[in-house]
Amino acid sequence: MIEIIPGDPASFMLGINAEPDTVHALKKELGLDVSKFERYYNWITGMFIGDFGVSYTYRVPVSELVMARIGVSVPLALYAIFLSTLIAIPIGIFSASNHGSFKDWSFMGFTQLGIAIPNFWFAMVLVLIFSIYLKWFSAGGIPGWDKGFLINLKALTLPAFALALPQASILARIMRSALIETLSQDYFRTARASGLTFFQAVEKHAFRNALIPVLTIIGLQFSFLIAGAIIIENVFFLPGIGRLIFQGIIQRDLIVVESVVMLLVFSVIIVNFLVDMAYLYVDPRLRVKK
Amino acid sequence: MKFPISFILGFFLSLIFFVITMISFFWVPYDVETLNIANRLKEPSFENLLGTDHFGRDIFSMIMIGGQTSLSVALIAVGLGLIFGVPLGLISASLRGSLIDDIIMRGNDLIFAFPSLVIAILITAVFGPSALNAIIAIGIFNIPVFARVTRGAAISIWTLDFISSARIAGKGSFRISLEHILPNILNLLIVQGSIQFSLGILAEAGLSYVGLGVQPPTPSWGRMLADSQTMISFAPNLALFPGITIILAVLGLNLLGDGTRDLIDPRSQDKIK
Repeated sequence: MIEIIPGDPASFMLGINAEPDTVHALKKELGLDVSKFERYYNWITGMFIGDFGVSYTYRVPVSELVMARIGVSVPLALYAIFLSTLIAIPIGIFSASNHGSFKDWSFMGFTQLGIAIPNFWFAMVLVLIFSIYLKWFSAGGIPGWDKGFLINLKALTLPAFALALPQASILARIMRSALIETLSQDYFRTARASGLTFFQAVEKHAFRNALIPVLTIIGLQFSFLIAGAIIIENVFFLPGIGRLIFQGIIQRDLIVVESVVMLLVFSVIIVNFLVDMAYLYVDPRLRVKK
Repeated sequence: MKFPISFILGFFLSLIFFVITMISFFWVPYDVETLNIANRLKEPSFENLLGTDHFGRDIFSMIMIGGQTSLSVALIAVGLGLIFGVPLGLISASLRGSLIDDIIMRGNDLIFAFPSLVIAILITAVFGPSALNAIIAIGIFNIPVFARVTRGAAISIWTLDFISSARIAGKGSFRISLEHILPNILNLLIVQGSIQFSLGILAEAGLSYVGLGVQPPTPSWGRMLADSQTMISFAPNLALFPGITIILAVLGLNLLGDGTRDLIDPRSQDKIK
């Protein structure tokens, strides 16, 4: 699809004053002189052995570019998922157990707000408060993993928090409604009647049953997280996958864009598969073959 | 009839957003295409309600006109989703279990597997950044959403007795879908529509923020935010007001959607507030 982007990379790289000979030589070097179908075939077959081709602008294999950036994006995504779960599950449990009260109502009001806030704007506000006024965090960039774990974790905190907010809001709402559903079940009443305190009963009986819809949402959120990361990485100048794809588009580096998109789609599919597997772990009833 | 609070709040927020945008078609306090550098970065005052930006343009006027962009992009994108998604869902439901149903639903899954913003960025990159391409990019992702909602709801209607009666009366699948299924799932589609509408506003803001939405000098909320980013340390107002506008507009539409659902189905009021 990217083939139809107006402008070919060779002419783009050399500028408008380039001689046709030079353009042709560069095309040959980049493997652009063969037909579209041949290039497509080379790309597809190469992908199976981990060879995504060579970036037109960086002149290094795409796999190398990706590997260098995964070290930023994957920790960022995991950190964000961790934060959102950490925020959402207690809020969900708290709201469900105070169902209908003013506390529940105000927490749900906050989650509505959390969903409505564009995460890049939230990121800017975080920078304004924590970097510019309080000077607790740096406004962007990442020192690199060889400089120590904590210092990088600190650099990723604001971006991860910005990414996590809308996800946490959605997750908290799902957690709450799933839990309210299970709290009204007979087995929960029985558990309470048998002398368990409210939280013991939630922990032992309700929580697990409410977890299935929560897991589904965590899985679905992964692709939102990726999309969010593209923008957030740009806000914080993080050299991650999102920034790579964005620069690829601007520089007409189509091989990078294609490969990264394929990788992202692939990772979404894998995450969804892992979520399906996690169902089996959470709910043994699903393990029975029909 | 008792209206849920979320409905009332959502209704008024959406109404304010809608009315202000409509007014901007006929009148804005200041022209947003004339630069007035002498008047730049003014604090909010009675003359410039929300202050001015680095080119001396009135922020309130820009937000008003930016509303046109958000409103039209999101509205048409939802329209695209409805026009293509609903018929696909209806066809799928009436032929449930058949090969065609499978093809339609797997096609949906395929689009779903792609992270939406990535594809939106791709589409705008391929065809060049413009409002139209932003609409197409956002609209494409509304199609599977509406197709799924329609199919799910329609299938449950198909099992009801009055459909069998209609069948016995000699109506074909097409007529049943149109005359009996569609009116019965309309509520659900309206609720989903308002949610997609708010998502569309967020997506448009995101695209404009990375420079792939409407192009200057047309104001848009997302780009106002992008422009303000470098000046956030000395002019936080520039970033604050468009952001708050987006939040209020999205919040209003979400509340309206939730409230409408509660209104239609009182049972859900308990579960999802």
